[in-house]
Amino acid sequence: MNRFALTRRQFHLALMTSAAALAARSKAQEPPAQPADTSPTSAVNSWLPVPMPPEQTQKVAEAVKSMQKTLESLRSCPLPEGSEPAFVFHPYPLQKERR
Amino acid sequence: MSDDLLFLTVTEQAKLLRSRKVSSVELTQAYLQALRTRGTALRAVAEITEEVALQQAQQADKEIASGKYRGVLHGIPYGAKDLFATKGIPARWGSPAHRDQCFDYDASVIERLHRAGAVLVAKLAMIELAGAGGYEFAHASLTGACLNPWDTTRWAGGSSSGSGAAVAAGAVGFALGTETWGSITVPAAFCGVTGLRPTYGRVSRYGAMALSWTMDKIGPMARSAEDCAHILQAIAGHDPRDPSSSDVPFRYRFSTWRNRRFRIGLLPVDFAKNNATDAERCFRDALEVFKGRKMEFVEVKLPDLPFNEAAEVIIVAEGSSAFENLIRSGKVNELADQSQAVGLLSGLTLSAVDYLRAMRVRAEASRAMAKVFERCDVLMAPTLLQGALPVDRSLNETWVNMGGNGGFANLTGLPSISVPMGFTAGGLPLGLEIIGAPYEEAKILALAQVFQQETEWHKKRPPVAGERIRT
Repeated sequence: MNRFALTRRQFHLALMTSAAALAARSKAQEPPAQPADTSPTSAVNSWLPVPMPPEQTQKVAEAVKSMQKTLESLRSCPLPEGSEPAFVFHPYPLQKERR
Repeated sequence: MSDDLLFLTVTEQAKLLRSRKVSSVELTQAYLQALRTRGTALRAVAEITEEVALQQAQQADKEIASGKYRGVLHGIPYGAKDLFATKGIPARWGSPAHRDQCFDYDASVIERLHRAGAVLVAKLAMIELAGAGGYEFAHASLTGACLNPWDTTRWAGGSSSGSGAAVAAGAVGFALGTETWGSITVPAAFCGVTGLRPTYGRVSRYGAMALSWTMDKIGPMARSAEDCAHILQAIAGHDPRDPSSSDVPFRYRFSTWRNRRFRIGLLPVDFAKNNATDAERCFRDALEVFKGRKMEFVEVKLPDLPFNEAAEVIIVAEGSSAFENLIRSGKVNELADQSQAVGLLSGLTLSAVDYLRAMRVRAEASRAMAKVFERCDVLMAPTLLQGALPVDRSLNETWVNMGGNGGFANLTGLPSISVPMGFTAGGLPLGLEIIGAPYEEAKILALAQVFQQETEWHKKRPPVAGERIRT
């Protein structure tokens, strides 16, 4: 057995320690963190190849806001504990016969 | 060939074809001409399929002549909403972003109609993506705003706009439409034709554009309820390529239902509040027809559930998912109506928990509606409370006091038929809607057929039957 060899547990420990040390060092060099943009339009932009132009951003923000009323009404409807949604999963059947 | 022939029902045309008084090629050529002239002027056409049509018509004539009669649809020319895959023929989904799209296979319904001997003469205009993101203008389509044959300053309705307009204008024998929320019943009512929205799952959606997998339905638009029954018979049934398609058999024979005394549930409608005097007059007259046939009436109240909200959340979430590629590519901004892009983009923010809550509300709604149908056979109300809307104005401004029964009925997958029930003072058609319990299309078809035996509204022809159309 190689005396320099690490066990898997030791390897993970070493990796985590060095990663934490690197992260702490790089964080110390970073400028103060900006609060993350958690707006709905920012979430939409994360799907897009280029961010939405300002006018569209405004319209999407309005649409999301208007959807809130719908959601409030939907969320206020009492539901039985653990009631199932109205769809079923269809397991995919085997196409070939087993040999 | 007389224009009158083009306005006959499928059932009437079938008799002429079978007895070989008219050939399918003659009928097809006449419809092709009507499509090129008034169909195009109304912007009801996405693509005329002349080559395929003449080939299929010749085949039909040959088979009928040799005694191989396939049934009522054999040799009948029809149009399909441009969201069905048709081998080698463009399927543009009404969308500028899909203008070059063409599939190399046929949708299940196109296959089934081909097997029944029907002749595909056109792909018909539609609202882009069947209105997936919500649209503000009638011109939300690659082909522009589809005009109403009864008044070309009015809209044909959507999203199956071309299907409604082409049937009303005698430019096809019948048409296929689809409905997620109102897309068959609204153009049927606006254009004065008969439109059947089958139960969810009754017709395979394989090869049809998906807007909302759990809400989309395919159905016929035609000149009578009897025609709709024949067409549904041809397209209904399980298809392994669409796991949501049902194997509950559809059988319809008018003679077994014609003398049945149905119990009709009347949905509450506030005509006065909605300034709907024309709809009130026509609806009361329609009820008199059923009273004359000894039908029983019961007042029905819908369960207190957020039907519309649940339907909206499901459509928005599924629509944004269905068109994810379009959104990610940025091509969503190519759509004709920017409200559609805004709707599809905002749908990306919906949470999975809200979507699932909508689906749980839907399960409760289905159970609650089953209880409603313990008290009555069908539900009845005006399809909409007003006639067709102006074609050039924002629907945000004009879609007021419209009423409608689309939310609860589509959410719970109920079948429905809209039949012409009269006209506004301004000469625009109004529709009567009959809604059935799941898989009970036979009852709504029978009632619609009874109504059409006693009335002539479905036989009225729009003034736009000539070649000159003011646009």
